[in-house]
Amino acid sequence: MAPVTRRSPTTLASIIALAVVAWVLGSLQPVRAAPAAPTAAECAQVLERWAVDPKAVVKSLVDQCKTMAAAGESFAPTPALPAVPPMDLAALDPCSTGSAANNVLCWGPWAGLSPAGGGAAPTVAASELRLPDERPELADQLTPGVDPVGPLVSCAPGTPCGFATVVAGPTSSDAPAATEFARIDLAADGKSFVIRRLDGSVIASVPAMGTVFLPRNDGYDGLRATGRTDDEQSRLIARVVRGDDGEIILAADIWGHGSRTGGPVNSGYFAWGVATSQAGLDALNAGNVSATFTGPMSVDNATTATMTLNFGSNPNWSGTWVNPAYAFSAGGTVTGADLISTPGQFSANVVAGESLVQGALVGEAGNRGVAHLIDVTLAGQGLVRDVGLLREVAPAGPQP
Amino acid sequence: MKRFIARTALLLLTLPAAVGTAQASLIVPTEGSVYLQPSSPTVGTGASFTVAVVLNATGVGNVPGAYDGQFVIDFDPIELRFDAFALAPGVSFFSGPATGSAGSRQTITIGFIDSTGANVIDGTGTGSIGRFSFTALATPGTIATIGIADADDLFGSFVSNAPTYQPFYPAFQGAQVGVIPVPAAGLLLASALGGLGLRRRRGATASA
Repeated sequence: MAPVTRRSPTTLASIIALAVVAWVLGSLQPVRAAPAAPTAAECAQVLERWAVDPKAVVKSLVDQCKTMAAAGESFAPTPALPAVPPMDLAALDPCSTGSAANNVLCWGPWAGLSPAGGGAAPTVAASELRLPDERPELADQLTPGVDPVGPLVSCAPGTPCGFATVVAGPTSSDAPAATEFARIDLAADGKSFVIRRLDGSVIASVPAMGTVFLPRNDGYDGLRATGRTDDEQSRLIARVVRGDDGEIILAADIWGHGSRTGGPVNSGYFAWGVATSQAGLDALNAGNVSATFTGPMSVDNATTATMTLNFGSNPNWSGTWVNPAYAFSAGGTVTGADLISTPGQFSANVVAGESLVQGALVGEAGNRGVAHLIDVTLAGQGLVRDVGLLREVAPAGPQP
Repeated sequence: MKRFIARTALLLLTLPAAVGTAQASLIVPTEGSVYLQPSSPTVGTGASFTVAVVLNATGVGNVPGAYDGQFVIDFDPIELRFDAFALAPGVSFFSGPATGSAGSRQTITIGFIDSTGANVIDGTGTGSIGRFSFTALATPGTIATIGIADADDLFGSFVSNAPTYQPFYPAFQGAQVGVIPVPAAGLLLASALGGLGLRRRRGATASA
């Protein structure tokens, strides 16, 4: 029998210690970094291959990609876009060039543009019409060769034509932003008037107001017209020019109408006349007449306006408005009896894209005037809205 | 006698500031004023006096300047009798004087214009529109009030008329006039004369 080899206790302990150390050292192996998440492109390939042959890819990888897909990752490849050449804007849109101000297609459309002979009244405020892109549906009305008119319908020669401001309340004045424009029709005897607002509504005075004409020392007569029904009251206080038959042919200043029983009350200022007849216009154009008109505005009578109308083959006008607080100039075209500003002819301090001068030549030789409105935004001053009746000064050219 | 003097003195000392009984207006005064200015704060029963209508255009803008307007005054016809209204130089009527009534009070409505370049409002900013003449009918001790207001209580009728018509909204202030029986000096004179007469009679009786 072979002898049994016995280890000593010390040796056995050493062996056990070494085994423990080896085990510990083995457990302290550096942690392997978890494999990096596959990229979207890699997942696309993995999933594509898995769809064909599920055994061809590692399941854990497939699971990772599925988890990423569930989280919203997109693995669809994005095709490259072909390069887009820069657009030739000038060819597509003439209003994108520097000559836009001189292009009749570029500074309309105006809601007041309507066929000759009248049409439906505009339905938005003047300020909303001055940005062409806000009313693209009206662009069809704008055709080359037709000069647009302002937001208020044009004044046909020989017909009554007036411009008014409208404010809420009885005082005729309010902040410019709270002041709207409208047309005013005045009876020739001064006994009634109608305000036609841009929204299509109408303010009609009480019928048959009582009138009294008063003396003035400035070439005008004064008119006080008042009327009252059970619950409505109207009034007019105006400078007027009357013809030989006593009919009013030019008028300006204060109007008011409203309820005495808690209903709406409106008021404002106005400038009114009978648009110069076609015969009168023809004579002015045939004679290449240049006529100058001047006078105070009505809302702020510290503003003095002067306008020169040049008749002939290409009628045009220019003007200045001077106030102790500001001054600006403008110019534009004359079409029939209508005057309308051209954006490119405003002075530099006018925000042309937000400004407008519209008016009409009123009266006949010897008693001509210009009734007009200004709706301008001035740098450093803000919005100015006013109406004014200007009288012809000493003629500068041959008179028809 | 002493009671009369004391009552008159008390009336004079306690006469309150004039406050017009103006009609309610929808317009809030913003600038200037129109007020009544009696020729005297007191008047004897049966005596005549005048009340000026003054326009103060301070703050309105045109000073000097021309102004138009229409106002209405009211008073108790038992206390006062309206005799006449005289316009100031350069001022014209465009309406009235028209009499009417508002309850128990009598009204007089006047529309005036200053369109001749006379400029009612002078460089001081004030000017007289005209002058009412009244006769006091009230019993002594009465305080007669005269109210004034814009004749147009919706839109207001007052305007500055040059270079264009522009409305303005003045404050309106009426007036009060105290009615006293007889002037105190006259009473004193009467009592003094009466005392002299009594003394003479006593002296004559004594010598007789």
